Amino acid sequence: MSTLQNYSIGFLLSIAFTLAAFWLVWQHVQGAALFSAEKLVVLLVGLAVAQLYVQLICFLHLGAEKQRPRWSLIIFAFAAVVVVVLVGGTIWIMYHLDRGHTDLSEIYPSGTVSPQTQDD
Amino acid sequence: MKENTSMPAHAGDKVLFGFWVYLMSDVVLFASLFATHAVLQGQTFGAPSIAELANLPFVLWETLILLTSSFTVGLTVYFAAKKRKVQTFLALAATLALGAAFLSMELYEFAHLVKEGHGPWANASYSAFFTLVGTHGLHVFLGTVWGMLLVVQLMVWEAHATVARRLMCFSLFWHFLDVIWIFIFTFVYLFGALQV
Repeated sequence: MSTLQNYSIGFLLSIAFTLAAFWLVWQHVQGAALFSAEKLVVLLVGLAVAQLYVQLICFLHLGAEKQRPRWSLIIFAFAAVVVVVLVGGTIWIMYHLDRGHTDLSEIYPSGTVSPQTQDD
Repeated sequence: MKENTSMPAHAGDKVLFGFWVYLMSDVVLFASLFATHAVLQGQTFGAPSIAELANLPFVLWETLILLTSSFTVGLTVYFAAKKRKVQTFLALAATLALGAAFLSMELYEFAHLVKEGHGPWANASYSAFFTLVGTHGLHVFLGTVWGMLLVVQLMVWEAHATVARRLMCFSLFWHFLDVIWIFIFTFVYLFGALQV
């Protein structure tokens, strides 16, 4: 496959995925929701990952390496693991810390401790 | 084509690989900014969220412009490989023009937010937004400067192997910025509009 064909396919698919994601959200914002917000989140992540995949293959030529082992792919996989641990771990920990703080109002219902004014 | 005699043929692959390793470390930088944004997103101190202030169709145009520039930088590499000088120039010039258009739109958005009193100093949510999107914008700016230097190098050295390799590195950098923007578009703007 020629590289020009690669770039064109990548470009058209990326445009399609971007417009689809925008259109879904725009419908939702206008009140004509096709999906619930929860389903839409999954769809949008799916569209973003699909576009990531298309651009990695068509634009960044990942997987087109002739030599073995495929060092570019290995470095990419390592970076992907770091990203998942970093972003996933941060959201996980901070979400639970946040929940811990709001639970304080249930432990002290009299209002002696206010989570809003309390220092950490 | 005049070959670069100071460097063995396979050395170019090593340069490209080294540049790829740099890009993957830049991914980690952006990952930490995305994580920060995800955590601080809701901490607006009573102010409306950035997504409520943002004009979504405007951001869609920014996205389409950057996407098109990612295609034209691909064309640049394609024409450079075919040694078609004029087309290489035109594709690179189109890339830089689209990059400049994207930057102008982003700066306009930033200036508008600051003017309305929604600067990065207003609250944690805005700080995280300006840091994430601003860091991407800074990359696009530096990429545009780099591209301008490549235009000069193309004029002086034409189809020299070193310039071809630099063009290849530049295209990887530019495509990478487009990939980062997809996630900014999805997680900052689209998710923000959904209020999640």
